[in-house]
Amino acid sequence: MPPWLHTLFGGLAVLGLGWLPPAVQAQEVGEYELKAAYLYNFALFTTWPSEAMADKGQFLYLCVLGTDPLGPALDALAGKRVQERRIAVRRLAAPEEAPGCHVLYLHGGEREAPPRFLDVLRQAPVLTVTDAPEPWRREMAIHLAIERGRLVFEVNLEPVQRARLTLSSRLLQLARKVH
Amino acid sequence: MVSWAEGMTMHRRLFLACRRGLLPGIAALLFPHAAAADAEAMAALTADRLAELPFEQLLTLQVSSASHYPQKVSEAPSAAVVVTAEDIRTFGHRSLADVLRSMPGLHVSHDRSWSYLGVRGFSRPGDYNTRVLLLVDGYRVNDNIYNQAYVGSEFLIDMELIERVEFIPGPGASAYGDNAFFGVINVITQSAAAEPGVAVTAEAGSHDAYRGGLRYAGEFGNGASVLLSASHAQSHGRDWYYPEFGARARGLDHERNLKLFARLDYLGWTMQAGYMRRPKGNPTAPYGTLFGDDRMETVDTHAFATLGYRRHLSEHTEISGSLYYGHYGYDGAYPYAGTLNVDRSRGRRAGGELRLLSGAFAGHTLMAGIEYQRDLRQDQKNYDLSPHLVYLDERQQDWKFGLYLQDEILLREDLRLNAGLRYDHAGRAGGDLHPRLALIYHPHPGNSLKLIYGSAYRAPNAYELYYGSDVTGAEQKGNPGLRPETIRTYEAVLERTFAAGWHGTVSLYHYRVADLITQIEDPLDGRLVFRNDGRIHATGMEVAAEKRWSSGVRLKASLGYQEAKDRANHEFLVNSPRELVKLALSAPLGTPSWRAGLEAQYTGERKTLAASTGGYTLANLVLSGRAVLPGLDLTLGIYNLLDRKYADPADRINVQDTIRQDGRTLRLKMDYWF
Repeated sequence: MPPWLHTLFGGLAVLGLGWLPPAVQAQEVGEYELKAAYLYNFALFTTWPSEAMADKGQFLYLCVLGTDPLGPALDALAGKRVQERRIAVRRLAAPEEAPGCHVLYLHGGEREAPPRFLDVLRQAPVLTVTDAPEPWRREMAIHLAIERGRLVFEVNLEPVQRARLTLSSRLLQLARKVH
Repeated sequence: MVSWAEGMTMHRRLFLACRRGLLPGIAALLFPHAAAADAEAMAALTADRLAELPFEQLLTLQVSSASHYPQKVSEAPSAAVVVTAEDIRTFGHRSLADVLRSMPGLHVSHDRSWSYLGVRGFSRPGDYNTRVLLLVDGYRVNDNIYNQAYVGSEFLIDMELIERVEFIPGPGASAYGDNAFFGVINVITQSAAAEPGVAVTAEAGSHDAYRGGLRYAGEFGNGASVLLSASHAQSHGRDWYYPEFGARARGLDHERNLKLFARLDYLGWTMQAGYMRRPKGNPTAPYGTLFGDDRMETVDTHAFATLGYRRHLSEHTEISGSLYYGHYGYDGAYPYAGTLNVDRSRGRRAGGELRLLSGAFAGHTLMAGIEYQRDLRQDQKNYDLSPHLVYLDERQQDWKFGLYLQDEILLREDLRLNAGLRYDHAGRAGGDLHPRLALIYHPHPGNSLKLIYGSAYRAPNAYELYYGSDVTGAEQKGNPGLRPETIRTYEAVLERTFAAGWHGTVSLYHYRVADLITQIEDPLDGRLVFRNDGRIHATGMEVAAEKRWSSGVRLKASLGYQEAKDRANHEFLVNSPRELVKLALSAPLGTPSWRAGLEAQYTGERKTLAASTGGYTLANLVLSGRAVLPGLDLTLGIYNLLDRKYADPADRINVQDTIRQDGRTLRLKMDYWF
């Protein structure tokens, strides 16, 4: 889909909000469910280098590192399609397993991720997402935070480029900040 | 890294039920009327439904932030080791024994019937892996007759179902009770979401070994997920020449196994059931049976079912419980001139546990639990078929009960004290209290110093107490007067992460075992009998290092040195290698989908009952390809690449002093996802 079409669809969607069924609009959404849905969308709007997709595999791996409160919510995404692949959820016991992943989520409660974590990922084409505070916040591609009841995200371009990923302009527009 | 992963397990358990929407779901289950109105609205907001909405719309939704657990908890503070599904694939591990063999300080020996795990130099001939607790998703695999941890091909579930294997060395008795004497093996199965769909596995290997399997993992919109698996394997086995008999045992090392497993997860409930049956030949002619007789066979059968439940009582408190039923059957056919001797046992047990985990008090993470097991059947029978002569017909029942409390106290931001106390009472052996204490200094991520004191006891099992007979011709007799054996351990573990990406662990330990239940030959009548005999002291050190390069090359290496000695005669123990050296190297092969894994393991010289058996190096080379064609994974493994001839120390039941093991073998494995 060309980017302008994304923008058009996005715009229509925002306009369409007023017509949403009240149940969705009014009700609070679970943090983990929403974060999982965000991860899915990040995957939709990311282009991986051909090397990451070279395996002709059928799965797009959504990986979770660290304490895993997101688990069951993420599991609900398993099997959904992203770019001709089905989502598979993996829980990593060690950061070193991350290079096989397409999207990697590090939970903010995990204060003990070893420093070698980022070394391992330095070159790997993995979209890193976290809600952990500094220093992870600036080191990973996307940072999630809850702000006044809304889930917002920031993008750090440096790790995105290092991982040789391309994020769609629509995603960058929706980000609260792009560093 | 390791303590970190270990804590994660705990957290995964903690948070399993933590998902928003789950509690109302449970409430709906318990109070259908009250919650019915909410059910539809809640269902609309699961992650997969949210994912259908445009991203722009998600950004506008009001989020209710979830509760965050305060602190990482290490359930068993120790030098734990983790092997993941990825490692199992990369190094082509065929059984749990292969996985354990790759871990620091562990060695595995095999008597052509079962595999035995040696922990830090302890693996006594005649013992059936009774001093290690084996758990599959919390279910105790150790049966209630031999208390055996089944780690070879006789393990309960397929390797493809394993998400990871943790080994926690040292007595875990303060949290786990019986059998957690030298360590706990924790096998965690994959979630249905890990690899959804239908998959088939087909394997072919040396000595006419074939294996086929089918599995399904799927999730349903209502929050339920299912994992189903079935596999069958058979192997002709190789022919063995035994100089002690001056002849070759042809076609006697055969085996077959059938494994079934099912799991259902639904709203905090987990149901599991499994079945395993393995008939195995034995070419070594144990117990003075006729050499070369193809009637020699042992059949192991396991069946189990568990039901678990977990819920959050409040933001910081979780309660979990489980019920289980386990069946173990053993049927041995031992051919003698003129008769076939039948050796049978049947074990049945049922039990439950309840556990409370709470971080409600600032600076404390409390865990309290209660466990009860009823041994419904502990039957052992031994008889000659014809003429019919019963040597043994022992039917026992027993029960055990455990109560434990553990607190992890945050003394300072970087200093934690983990204190645990457990009281166990076994119907026959009586009660005992065992404490554990660990001080964990954790200045930076990946760097820690742990000082650990632990203690445990192990009650004699039904086999040690009752197996045997006074009838003339019987080779073994029971000893109902056995007392529990005890262990005290002292350990220091230093973990460091270095700038260049190296991660290292050093651990020093000293074990003291008293009243060891050990099999000896009674000088009065020449029969084998278990006695509380002597004290053993073991002192040792393990050094492990690992590094992953950005090029994708990974290295894990470990070195273990230990001296385990009998205090009575200051001699080294039998089947106790002083040196264990392990190396695992893997690298991508040009393309992202292919990877090569090389393992090399050196096991030092071991004393045998009569002499000794030399050290040996095993090397395995495995090439694994993921998605080499759409949906197709391939693994080619060459085991014992150098075709080294090596042997494991034999038991007293064997004429041989050592039992030779497999030379070079090949295996080709294929997994295909539809």
